[in-house]
Amino acid sequence: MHIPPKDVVDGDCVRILTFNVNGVRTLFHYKPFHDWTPSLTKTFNYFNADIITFQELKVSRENIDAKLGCIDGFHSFISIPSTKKSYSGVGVWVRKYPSGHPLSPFLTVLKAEEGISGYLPIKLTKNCTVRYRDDPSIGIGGYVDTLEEADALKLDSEGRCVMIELACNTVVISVYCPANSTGTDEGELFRCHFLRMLFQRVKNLETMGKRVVLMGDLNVCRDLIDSADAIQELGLGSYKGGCELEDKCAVQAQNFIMDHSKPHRRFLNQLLCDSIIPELAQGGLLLDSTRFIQKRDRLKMYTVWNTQKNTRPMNFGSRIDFILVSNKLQQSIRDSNILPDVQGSDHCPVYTDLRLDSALTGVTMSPKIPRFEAKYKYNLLNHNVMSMFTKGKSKTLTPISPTSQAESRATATAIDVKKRPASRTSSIDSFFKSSKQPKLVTPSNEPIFMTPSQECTITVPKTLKKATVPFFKNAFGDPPLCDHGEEATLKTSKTSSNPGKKFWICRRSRGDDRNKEASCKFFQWA
Amino acid sequence: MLEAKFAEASLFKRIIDGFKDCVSLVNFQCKEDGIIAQAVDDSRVLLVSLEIGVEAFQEYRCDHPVTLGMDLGSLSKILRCGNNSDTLTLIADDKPDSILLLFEDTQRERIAEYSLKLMDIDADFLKIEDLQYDTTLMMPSTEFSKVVKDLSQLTDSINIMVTKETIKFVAEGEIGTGSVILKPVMDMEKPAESIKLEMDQPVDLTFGAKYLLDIVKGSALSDRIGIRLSSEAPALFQFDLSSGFLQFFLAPKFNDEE
Repeated sequence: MHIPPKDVVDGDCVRILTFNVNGVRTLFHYKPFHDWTPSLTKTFNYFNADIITFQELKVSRENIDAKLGCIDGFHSFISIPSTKKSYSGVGVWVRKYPSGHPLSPFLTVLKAEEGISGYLPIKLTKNCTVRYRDDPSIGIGGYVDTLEEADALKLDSEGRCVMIELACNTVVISVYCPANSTGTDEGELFRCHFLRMLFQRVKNLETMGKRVVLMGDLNVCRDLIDSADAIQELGLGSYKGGCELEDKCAVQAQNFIMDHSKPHRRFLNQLLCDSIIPELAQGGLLLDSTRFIQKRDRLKMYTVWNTQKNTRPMNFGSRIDFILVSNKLQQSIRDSNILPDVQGSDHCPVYTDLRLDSALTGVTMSPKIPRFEAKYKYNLLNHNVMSMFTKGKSKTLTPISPTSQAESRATATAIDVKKRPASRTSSIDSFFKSSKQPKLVTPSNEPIFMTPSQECTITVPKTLKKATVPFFKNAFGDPPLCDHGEEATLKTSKTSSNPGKKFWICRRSRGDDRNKEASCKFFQWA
Repeated sequence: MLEAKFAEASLFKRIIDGFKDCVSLVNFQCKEDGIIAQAVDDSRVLLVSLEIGVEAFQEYRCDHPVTLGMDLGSLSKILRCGNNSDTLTLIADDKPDSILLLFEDTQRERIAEYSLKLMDIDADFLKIEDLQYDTTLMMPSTEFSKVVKDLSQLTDSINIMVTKETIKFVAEGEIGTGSVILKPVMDMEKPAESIKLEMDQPVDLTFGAKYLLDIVKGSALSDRIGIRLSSEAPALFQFDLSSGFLQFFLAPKFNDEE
């Protein structure tokens, strides 16, 4: 898979990348990250990125170690939920450049803040703790006062936002917005409050003269062309380009945004100066950098797919991961795109390259050390045992190479391991001949999210690897043929009306209705 | 050809259990005068150094120096297959692909043979010469283990302060604080229970509790633990074998004022 290089003509191009990793530890189970287990530095270098945000880290306090929060060559900022463990969580890493480097003035971190409200406390020294909003030398400013402190703190209690101010008068806000996947009123209210406070803070910062970059998993679809489900529902799958679609179906496109049951779409569009609804765009401050570069004609530019319905192979998804930049930075956007080939999560990464103009730098203050930096917040300051041996006593440490390598690498981290291949075991099937036993097998141990509105939630039978299929295959009779003329696959219903009941369904991945290559509508109870 | 026979398999098992949780890939260097090994944990805070002298073995023979790269997780799986009272012989040829582990129950004439595939591990081996220390402390390993386990419940870092007459361990956590103070004692009847302190200069150091918890896993090797502290060098925690030792070099935390 190819990661596009940065535009490096003058060496002053900054790459910003957002990726909902859906568990930072599981990311390293996938290629190519697996080869670098568990080095984030190598991962970030692979993306050629300078400012990286990961959402849904799903780490608890005990798991934040030097490998996550104190990595070579980057500043680390991590926010995790105060109560729920291994849930949500946002991390931001900013590359350190040596002081002479052209990018160093842009990427110097002046301040760092956790949460949106400014009510969260930060420990400065052993006995001194302040709230961000109470100390202008610590907090970034532009706080929103519409909510009671207790309510605001609740919004900030789930590790969803990290904010950093860079020396180039730019504030980078990384968020993981609530999704309300269960569809409750309470969840919707939480989500609306969160977005309102976030967007108001963005406005306040812009009014202060800052340039805001808002990035992350917003969990909001901004346009009709960003939602495969909505396009399908409205039966608009035949259009080849986004412009044509929005031209012919202007009403539907507007209704998608103004839908009263989905107020978050309107909220987001109110913030965007490139919204298709002129009244909303008027007051907009941010620009959707990916759409700006890729243009509105590009369809199917999705960043997330439903793993349970296996919609990724057919690219039937939606776009909810954004890098929104201040309209003041419009001229600076060099490139932006999604990286749909990067595996490891149900989302894919999105990047934007900005060429920041030097006119706007100007460090007016000497930066205080942001105490929110992970190494302070999570107490990761530890000496390196190897460098302690070498410190001032070069004699004490004589590297003796076990192999012929003579070079001294006292602090090198690379351990090159070549595992000798293990022999393959033969399949258990080869020992069984008959397969008549009607043994009931639940093909999935995956957690299933049940929505009553859905007829059937289907699961991919992960536990049934190809090798074991012949043994169990005929337990429900021979598979019927679907409309493609292919053998259907067996799934288990998870709905309340038919729990545990088996059914046959087309084995292809779900896609647009018109797509002949995608799943047909074949369905039959077993 | 390497042939190293332990009178009891449990000794080698205890050695490996003593450090398998903090490092995973280790080169064991077998030489004429015994086996040595060294490894650093992923975060490069803890260095483990092992020496098993010839006298620790019932029989020992090593004609040519040979390096055995092993995954401790895999090795300990095999070591669990032997009974504690079995004898254990490690056998490897001069250019080995694998190492043979032979468990023999002399009473029942039961022989179990396992081979473990070796790995090429590219890691440097450091010769550690004597470091200068401000304080040396000997105490029962169970006592140290208890202090570490107790205090680490409160916080992720433990402070060790040594003054002329006292050794003080302090933990300050979010739920509260705790401290344990020990004084040097001579127990004539049970010398193993004594606490011995030699101090040139007072020290005040803080260590990650996670690493101390790794270190106390070596307690099964010896009744006594030797601790040497200095503000300049990594702290040394040592468990002695009948011949040889298991050493942990731990880098302290530093004050966040930088």
